[in-house]
Amino acid sequence: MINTDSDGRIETGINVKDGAVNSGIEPMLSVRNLSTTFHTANGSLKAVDDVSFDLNRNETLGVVGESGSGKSVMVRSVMGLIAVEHGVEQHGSVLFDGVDIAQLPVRRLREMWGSDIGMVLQDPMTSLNPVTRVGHQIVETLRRHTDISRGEAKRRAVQLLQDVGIADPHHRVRLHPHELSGGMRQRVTIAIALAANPNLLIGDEPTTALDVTVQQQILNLLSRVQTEREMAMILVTHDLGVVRNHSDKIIVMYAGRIVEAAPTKSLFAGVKMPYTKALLDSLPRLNLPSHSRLRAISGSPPNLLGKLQGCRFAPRCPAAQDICRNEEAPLAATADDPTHEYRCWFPVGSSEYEESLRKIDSGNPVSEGAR
Amino acid sequence: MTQSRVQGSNSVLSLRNVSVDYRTKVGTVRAVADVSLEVAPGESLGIVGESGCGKSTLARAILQLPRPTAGVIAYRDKELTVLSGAALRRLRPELQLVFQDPISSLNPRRRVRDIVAEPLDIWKLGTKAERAERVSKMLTAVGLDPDVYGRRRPSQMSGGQCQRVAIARALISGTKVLLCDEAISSLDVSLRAQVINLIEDLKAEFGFALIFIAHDLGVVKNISDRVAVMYLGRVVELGNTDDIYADPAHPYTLGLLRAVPSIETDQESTADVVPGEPPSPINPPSGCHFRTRCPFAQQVCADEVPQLRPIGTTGRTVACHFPLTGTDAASRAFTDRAW
Repeated sequence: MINTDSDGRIETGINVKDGAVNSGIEPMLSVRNLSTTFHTANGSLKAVDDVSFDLNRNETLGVVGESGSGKSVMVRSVMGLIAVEHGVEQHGSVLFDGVDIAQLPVRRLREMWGSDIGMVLQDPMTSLNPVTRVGHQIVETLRRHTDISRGEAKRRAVQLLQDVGIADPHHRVRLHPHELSGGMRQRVTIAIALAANPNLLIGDEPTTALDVTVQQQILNLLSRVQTEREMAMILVTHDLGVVRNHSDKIIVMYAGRIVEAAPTKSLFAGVKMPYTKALLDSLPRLNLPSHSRLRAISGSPPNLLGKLQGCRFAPRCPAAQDICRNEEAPLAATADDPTHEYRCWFPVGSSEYEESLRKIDSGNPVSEGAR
Repeated sequence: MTQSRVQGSNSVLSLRNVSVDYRTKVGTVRAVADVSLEVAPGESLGIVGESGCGKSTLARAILQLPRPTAGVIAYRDKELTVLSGAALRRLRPELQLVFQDPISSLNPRRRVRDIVAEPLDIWKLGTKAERAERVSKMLTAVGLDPDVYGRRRPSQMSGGQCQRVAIARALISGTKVLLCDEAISSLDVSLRAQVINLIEDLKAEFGFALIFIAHDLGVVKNISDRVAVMYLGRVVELGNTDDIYADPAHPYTLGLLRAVPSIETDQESTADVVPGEPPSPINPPSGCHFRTRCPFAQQVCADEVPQLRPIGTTGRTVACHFPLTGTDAASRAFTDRAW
């Protein structure tokens, strides 16, 4: 029986060294040195590179990064969805309730998908079957993973729709996806993901395709069902604003690597990694006047097929020095906050970083990205 | 040639009482209802609202795709709503649209370079070498390495990368009015900033007018001189960007602002700021369309359609019986509680 109090959960798990967990509780999900390599015609591409983290029941992990940072491949590797065949190579362990699911055959994994691990994808129009009533799609999942009768499954489907905030569920179970709005459809995919009572819910950009008003509703819904069902949750997003108020801890990924990992509160109290800072700076601020120049991150993420030397963010980093280009910093924490890890030689706040920024600001008042 | 002259206007784009109806099996949908807007040369206008509010329909109506059901749309001194197809086509290089869904707006069989070069080919702009040069520059500007991505096809790229190609294609022909329909909604936040800065740069350089459509008020803030907030086909608030953000007058505008995920503050409650979703435009609520989701709605909101009325001194207009601006501290506190 896993027992976590609301304060304790933030303290545990972020320390990812050699499987050492700094509380007595076994984490529900423990990922160690996970790497996923795609062998393509143009060379090998390490989309996920040595990722380790822990996640407890009742806890939400935000995984943040740009397109191509490896965040989606990472969560799919965790689930075992990336088949280890046809030029894909996966290393590392994924302990889910103590079982290394990275070693399980697909047959066993298939029993876990949808029952132990639920998933909500970005686009509900492509993840739902367009020619089947939404109620049937929920019933299908329920019948696949539980032994209940068809009638009982139908009753549960209605209940699930109600749980995810769909008004008039008796009527709506009979509708097809195209008869629902985008927000409603996403609520249905959440209902399907919840159908078999998963212990882990993974949302891969679950709100990116939605209106801001609906995005807020869906995020609130996910947080609510996570608390009610005492699930662990992983929220994958490119928007730090999305996880600001909806996660307990955050992993920032860049070019397949974790570059910063911290409890959400510590992260926003003091960002260390220049990349995370740059992501924050690129968000439009409502309290700045219009036409304020956004601090865009210059350039684009590195081509992972090429030779990677030093810190992967160095080519775009305002504070990069020679050492950054030659040698990658380890993912490590400072003494004053052991839960806050980052991969940088000259973190935000260090004299070298501030000095570099001053030079940029005096030499070129507009920090320019797009050109 | 049937083209009437529009007198006494210095707007590059002028919309008068524009309505767009769609006839469906279950009834007529008024997607855009009686919208009047002016866009000055070089100005940028943000149009904000949820899915189904008619903002995309409005953008397409400006391009006569399809022509509006009622009202007048004028580009400079030409009334687009009565122009012949051929005359309209000659104006198309000057009026360009970046579509919402890049996957379906790009030809899957063509290579990126050819897609971006196509406007130049159609309108025969520059020599072959110049075109290649411009395509490379434009691809670089939208964050794509032309050597890496130039020969790819849309299916070999992510949705975000495809949208960059679509933006490059729309910007390459020297546009006078650029309409961006949720053009950056599918991009990463880091890239959004790049593209917003890019559009601002290009705007400063060429002086085109911009109509920037988004569902996220945070996104349009940086790029707009003025903002129009739409709800279920109607403009409910229109004014200078900084005014609207500092002091929203319409309850819906306030709700949209509060729904933007904040990285600056801890969220105090997990209540949904704007509950529910817009009602069906086939059978909209009587009176003020927003009243079914509005915490301040009274009987008069159901009985009477609020008209756009001036509020304040900065040329702002709002369609609300109980606008929030200028209310005293007590009712402001009520506002905060109600949301």
